[in-house]
This record gives sequence, C-alpha cells and structure tokens, in this order.
Amino acid sequence: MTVGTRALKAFSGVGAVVVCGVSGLLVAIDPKPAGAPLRPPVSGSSSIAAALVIPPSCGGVGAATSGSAATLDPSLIPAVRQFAQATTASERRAIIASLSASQRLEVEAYVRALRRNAQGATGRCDGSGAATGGGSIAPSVVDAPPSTQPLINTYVS
Amino acid sequence: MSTIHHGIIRHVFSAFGGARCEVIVCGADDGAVSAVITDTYAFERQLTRFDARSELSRFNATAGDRVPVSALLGELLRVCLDAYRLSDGLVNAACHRALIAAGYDRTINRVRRRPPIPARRSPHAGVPPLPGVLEVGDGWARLAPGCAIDLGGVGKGWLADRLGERFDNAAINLGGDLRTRGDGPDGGGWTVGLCDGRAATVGDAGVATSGTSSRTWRGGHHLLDPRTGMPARTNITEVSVVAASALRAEVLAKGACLMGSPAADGWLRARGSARHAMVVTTGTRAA
Repeated sequence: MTVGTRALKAFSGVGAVVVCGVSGLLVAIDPKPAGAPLRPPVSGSSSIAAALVIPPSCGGVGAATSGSAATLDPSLIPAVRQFAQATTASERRAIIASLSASQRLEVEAYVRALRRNAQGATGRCDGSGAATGGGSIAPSVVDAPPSTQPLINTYVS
Repeated sequence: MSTIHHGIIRHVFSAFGGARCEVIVCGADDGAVSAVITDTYAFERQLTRFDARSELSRFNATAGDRVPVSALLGELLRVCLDAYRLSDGLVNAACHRALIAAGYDRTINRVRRRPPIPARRSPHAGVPPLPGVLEVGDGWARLAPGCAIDLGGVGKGWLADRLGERFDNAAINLGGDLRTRGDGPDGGGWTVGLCDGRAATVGDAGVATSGTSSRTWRGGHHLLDPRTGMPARTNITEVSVVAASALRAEVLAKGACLMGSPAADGWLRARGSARHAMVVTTGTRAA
C-alpha cells in the first residue's frame, strides 16, 4: 500500500494534536504540590512567606533600617573624610593630632561604624568579623623558644 | 614611667580601675604616645560604669527610653551585639545588674576593701539575651527597662585596636588586652608572654587573656556567666588567645573560659583563634 505525501502530512498533524491534547489533559488532572503553586500569590501571607527568615543586622533591630553610622558633630566631618581615606598610620596620626581626646575617639568610632555598615551591606553580618576584627584574617604567630624573655605580657586584668 | 631607647618609646601607666597598661612604640614621636594615654583616660571617663556622670552610666539610667548616644557609645554598643553573636551569647554586655548582685558594684580595689557580702543571684534568671534588650540606631540607642550595660573587656579590646592602628610598629596593652602592629623593635616580631608561661611571636595581631584568677574578692570574681547570672564556675583558670584583633581575642578568651575545657579548644579554633594557651585546674594545655 502506498500513502501519498498529503496523507502523511495529515496523519502527522492529527498525531501531533492527539499527543499534545493527551499531554495537556495529564498535566491538568495531575495534583499540584501545595507548597509550590504555579501562580504564587504576590500579596498576603502564605506558608512559604511565613517560613522566610530575614537575618538580623549586625547592629540589632534599629540598625536594620539605618543608612548611616551615627550622628556626629559637623565640625568633625572633614576629619572623618580625611581619616577614612588615609592609607598610612602616620597620615591617620596627623589628621587627628589637632583634635581633643574625645574628638579623636569620636572620629575613629565614626569611621569604624561607617566601615561596619559597608561590610554589613555586602553581607558580612554573621558575627565573623564585621565588628570583632576580621575572622578570616589569621595573624602570623610562632612559638617563641622556651628561654625567650617576652617583650610584653598579656594577663587577666 | 617612660623610657626612650634607640627610637623606641615605652610607657607604663594605670587605667581602667588600676589595670596595668603599657605602650611600646617604634619610630613615632612622644606626642603620639601621650595621645594614647590621654585618649585611654578619656575613653574610661566616658564609658566607665563606676561614675554616674559617664555617658554609659547616664545611658543605663535612661533604660526604657530611646536616647541620643555619641558615635563612640553607639559603636561600642554595636560591637557588644556582634560580640554576643560571635560568642554564642557567652559574652553578654547586659550583665551589669548581675555583676552588681554578685558584689562587683564599685572599682575592684574598693570591692576588696569592703567587708565580704554574700553574692546574690540577679533578680533575673541568668542575663537576658542582649539582642532582645538593646536597640542601636543612627545616633540613638534604647535599652529595655530594668537592663544595664557593662562594656567590660570588650571596650578595652576595641580601644587597643584603635590605638594600635595609629602606628606602623607598636604594641598597646590595656590591662592585658593587647594589640600589636609591625615587626617589633628588632624586626623579628613582638614576643608576647601568654598565661601558661610560654611566649608567642606575633606581627599584626591581638592577644587577650581571660580568667577567674584576677579581679577577685572574698566570695567572688569578675567573670560572670550570663547563663546563670553568677560568677562563673569553670575548670579554666586562665586562657590566652591570639587572634586577628584585640577585640576578637578578648571575646574569644572570655567565651572559652566560660565554656570550659575540653570544649573550648574546638570552639576557639572554629572562631579564628590563631593560637591559644590554657591553664586548667587539672594542668596546663596549649594549642
């Protein structure tokens, strides 16, 4: 038996319609997983939304919405800018040399807070070092020979 | 006391209620060393809990209210929150009330001169979790009613780091919380004596020691366990930690001491201790 080209095209078309129809029917009757709707709600609550946990910020509840570090005496802002940009210890000393003791501490605290905010913005908010000094940076340390006289001692104060 | 020898300035002074402090600086002028001492006293005046006029005492007195705080106090309060998380809650600055109840209600020298009083348990069961009682925002902070903050060694560690960062080659020791920078006086590093009598040579590092062997009085000591609200009962007498900063070393040392041996070993390694030494009641161990 020979089948003409037109008949082959017709069979092919009908077959495609049947396959697609059956597939669609199977998808339609298949039970949907309750936790993953095909059209998730964009408002209101759901079990998924309730399960989401927003990690706390490094600075507690209030800091979660904070954009800057703290308030500061405006007269110290130039020193803060210079101090934050200084690359050497001697530069930092020179910038704060003319300030009072309390002002020096304010500037250093403010710059520290700015850096913490910057670190927090990049996700370093896990107690691994944003405030406590870089947990990923291991200092070089070697055991001194037993007879070595220490230059300086640490002790319980 | 101050000595100058071949470009090295060494000065010993007393701060933080009589704690021995020391500055060793290479290649800087004496004005910079004077600033270290001046700033240490300014820091203590602003943040001591033993003076009702200090900013910290005034902040504690307004618990329950949202009040303005300086950049310095705001930064230190945030550091306390981070220390709490780093230490799994073992370093808890909300321990002020429990310290008072334990008898540490004045400087340690005055506590020792006073006739002994029995330590009382804090009215609270243990110490409340710090993140639940302290909020810090932009230029303001708020404590839950009935709570108060003691910065303790966290403040000294933070300050040692800031003062150390002013120099390329120096060691700053604030009552045992130590920050080193640079290669030391002879270029071979800073040799630091640890609590077990051994020494370690470090470059840019923080070193701190915590324990129950100092700041003691009849019937108590200063190391409070926030889980019980009472002076700690631990088998670690002293622990020294070398870490990336004095603040981190301080937090880890205190947390390890409260945790006790042998659990403290792994706990310290997991949190960035580069080296630690312990004196435990059954002997001496180092790692």
